[in-house]
Amino acid sequence: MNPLGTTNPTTGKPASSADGHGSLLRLRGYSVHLHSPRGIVAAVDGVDVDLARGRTLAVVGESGSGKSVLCRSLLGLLPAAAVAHRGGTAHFDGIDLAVTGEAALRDIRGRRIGMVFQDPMTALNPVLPVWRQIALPLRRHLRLDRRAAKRAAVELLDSVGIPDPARRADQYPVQMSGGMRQRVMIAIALGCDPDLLIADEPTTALDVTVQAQILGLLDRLRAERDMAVILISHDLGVVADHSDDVMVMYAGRQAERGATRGVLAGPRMPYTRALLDAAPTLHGERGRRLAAIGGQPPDLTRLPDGCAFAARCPRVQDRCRTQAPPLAPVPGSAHDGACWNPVPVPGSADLPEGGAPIPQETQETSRA
Amino acid sequence: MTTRSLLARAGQAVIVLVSVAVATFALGRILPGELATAVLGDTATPEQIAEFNRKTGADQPAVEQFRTWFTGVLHGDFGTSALTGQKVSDALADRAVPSLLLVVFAEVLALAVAVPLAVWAAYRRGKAPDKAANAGSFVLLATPQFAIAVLLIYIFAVQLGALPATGYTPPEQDPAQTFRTLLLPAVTLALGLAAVYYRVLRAGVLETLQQDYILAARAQGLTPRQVLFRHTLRPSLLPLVTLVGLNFGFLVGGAVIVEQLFAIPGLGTYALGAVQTKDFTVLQGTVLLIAAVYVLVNLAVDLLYGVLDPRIRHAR
Amino acid sequence: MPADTGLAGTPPPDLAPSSASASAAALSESPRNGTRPLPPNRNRLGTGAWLAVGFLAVLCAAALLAPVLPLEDPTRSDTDALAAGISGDHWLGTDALGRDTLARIVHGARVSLVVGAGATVIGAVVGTVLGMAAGMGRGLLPGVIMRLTDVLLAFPAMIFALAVIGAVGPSTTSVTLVIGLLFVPGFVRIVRAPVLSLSQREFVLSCRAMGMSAPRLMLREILPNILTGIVTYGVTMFGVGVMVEGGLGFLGVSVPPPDPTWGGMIAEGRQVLAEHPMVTLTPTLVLVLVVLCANVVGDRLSARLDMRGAML
Repeated sequence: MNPLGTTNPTTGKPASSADGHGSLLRLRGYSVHLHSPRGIVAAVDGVDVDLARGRTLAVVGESGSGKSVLCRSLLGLLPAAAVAHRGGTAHFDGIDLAVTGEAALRDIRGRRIGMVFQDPMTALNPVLPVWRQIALPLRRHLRLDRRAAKRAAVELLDSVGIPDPARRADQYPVQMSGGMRQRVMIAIALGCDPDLLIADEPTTALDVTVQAQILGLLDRLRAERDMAVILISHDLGVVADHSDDVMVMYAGRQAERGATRGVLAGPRMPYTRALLDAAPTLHGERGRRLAAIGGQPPDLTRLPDGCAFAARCPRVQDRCRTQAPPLAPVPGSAHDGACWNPVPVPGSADLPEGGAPIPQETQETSRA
Repeated sequence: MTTRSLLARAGQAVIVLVSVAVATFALGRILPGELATAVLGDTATPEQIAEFNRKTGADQPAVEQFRTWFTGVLHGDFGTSALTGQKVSDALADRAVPSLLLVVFAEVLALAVAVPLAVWAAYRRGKAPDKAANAGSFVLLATPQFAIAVLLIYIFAVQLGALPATGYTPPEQDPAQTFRTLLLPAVTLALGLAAVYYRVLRAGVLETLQQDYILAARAQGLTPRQVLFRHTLRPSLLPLVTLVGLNFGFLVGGAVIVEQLFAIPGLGTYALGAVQTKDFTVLQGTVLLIAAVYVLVNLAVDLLYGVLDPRIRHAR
Repeated sequence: MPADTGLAGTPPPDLAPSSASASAAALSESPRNGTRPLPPNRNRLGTGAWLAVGFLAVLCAAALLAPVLPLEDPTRSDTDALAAGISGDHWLGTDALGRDTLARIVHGARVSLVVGAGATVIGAVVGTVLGMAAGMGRGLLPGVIMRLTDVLLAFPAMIFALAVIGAVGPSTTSVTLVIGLLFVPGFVRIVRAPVLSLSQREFVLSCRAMGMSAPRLMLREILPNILTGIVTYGVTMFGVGVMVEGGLGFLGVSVPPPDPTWGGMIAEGRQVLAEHPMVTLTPTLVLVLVVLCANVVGDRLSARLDMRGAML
């Protein structure tokens, strides 16, 4: 067992510790409340983010934890009628996204912030040849004419590793495999050379082998273009290998946040611990039972006064039920957690055997 | 569409057409009264009637008559009207022109109104224009064609005197006048069609707007115009293609009331007259032609759908 | 299946012809799963639909009670009031021959409503039987039924109706039968599609495995599942039937004069359209209102149905 988490990871400063200067995306107390059939939902509640160019922030959580709502609201993609309230501040490269109108947002979307969606089967238009789908944002943002846009589209297909791009450009999504469609999605998102790429579960719908290729592609493109990337995922294996910082969300709130290695090696918030225990690892002990997280995610329309995870938490205390813990540096770790009774640092006696952080070797092999 | 299913569809179409021919033939026989008395008048002697029946083949057994007629049809000979002596195939060729012009005109008008309105209403869903268009389409759907026709005649022909109430001028005489004479009947048909197209397309656009790829298109910063007309319209239009084709096939010769009301010498009025005069040969030929147009357009629409929708065209 | 519409012209709202999936529900908005809040009354019929039901009920009652209501004789001419406007004597005015419009509308309703309802019932019963047979039958039967409906659809409906009515003579019965026959293909398609999918469902397969006879299976297990769809479609087709009867009456091949029909009243009014438009407009308005009410009810019903379908 590698007690990696006990040492302060060296992979840059944690997202939380930055004062925000020099960061491309800066959120403070960002909240999004939505209308739902059963009342108002705090889909995102008080989130802070600092993300610099060239870095990848992973956002992790169960479905319904607010990951996708967070990203869509930043781009103004939520239906206006659905949004009950937006709070906090959101700055992208100094632009206050909260006060930016729809027209100005449209100049940012696709041009400066690209987005890749989860399911390439449904996120591509089935009745348009792929080159036209790549070309539309190019024509809109870069004012390319039709021929130049088509040439650029073919080049983009080539750059995302699609063989025979000139022929593929004229094809429809239905003629392509899932991995190839996701490459097309990435080509669309990268067309205008954005500063920030939001990848919303980009590999969830793909085969494992294709997943690795797509994530490798994203890593390469981020390095080449010095982009910032927000990688939304519920797959901690993906997060461990392909992000610098991680933010764990639970019920719209940030549960734990910091450098990816530190958080995954030494999770302090019991929810993160439980997520790790629920994830299979390559080098985990054979025969270890994957621990399911007991109980149900909370009803977002009626969140408890205290910690949202209290009802499911093995380390729950009385205080957890009455008072929500703030996100704060956790003693003994270099990252932040929102917990009154954090999990002891790894290596301590009561860490369950086999519930190991993802070992170094795993990262190396899958990166290769 | 595979060759196999295509052949099956074509085979079905042939079966349907032959059945229509038989049914039309039978329908002609159940009409009361005799063609002979209709042509020769009530004062005709039995000898005259017998002579007439021998000449027209009406004294033959029904099966024999059908065989003679259908063999002729297969060779492009629809027979001769016993009443006017005109060759039915010539008359059909003449009368197909106004019917076709009328329906094409109506379809173009209907689509020109319905498509932009439906896209706009769906995009501004729930707003006042959407509600007004919905209500309007609902009222139009409940208004029979003849009522629309009467109202249009009242307003534009009687009150304003702007357009001819009835009649038809062939395009080779005066195309401008053809346009004027066909305008009111075409608008009559178009209003009903537009209401249907509007509702189908609006529902289709609303459904398309829920798709992931529309969210993706918005995430690319595309303008509403690009999202609506580049990404949304095409997939939403596909169901409409079927509907437009079917209505086309159905209205060629099927717009009997409108043709009759506006005195347009089309296929519908031709068949109507044949029913009234019991002119079997004309009735059989016209109905068969109208049915053939319907069946063939149906078939064509199925094929076209496969071509237009890449999901079907490239289905593996 | 536009054939049923051609008679009256304006296609009914639910004609998405070629595909069997086209149902009365096809045009009503399907409910969204998004985060948008749902309108509160989505589950009830709504005020408009209840108003429509009320209007139809009042009209039905008036038609039913026409002989005992204090109405004028619809065929008697009041020579002092030709094409008169609204007055105390004639609440809705008179036509060109001085006959009371209100009385003629109420008596005309007896024809229109009976034909509309009768044709719908005929179409629904025959169409449901054939549709279930086409959906569950084996061997040649489904093919034969579907070709028969194709033939009926390919036939120019108006010509067909005129020829048949010309052959057997115009009467409420013949008009109802012909329109009912023209309605059959639509019902066959509406019924067949769900029956096809239902017959593959487990509960049906298990009933079959337990040896339930086919007619019993249809009646006990299949029919209850598709009945709401048939009723919804039928409500709309009732309106179409009224419209078609109006068209036939307009051409003078519905119930013969002097008995009033709405279509006949509209046709007769055309002669004095320029001077006395109300003679034509009043029966037109009533006809449109009846069809409109049927469409509103059908639309709301199918929206509700959709809603429930989405929750399953």
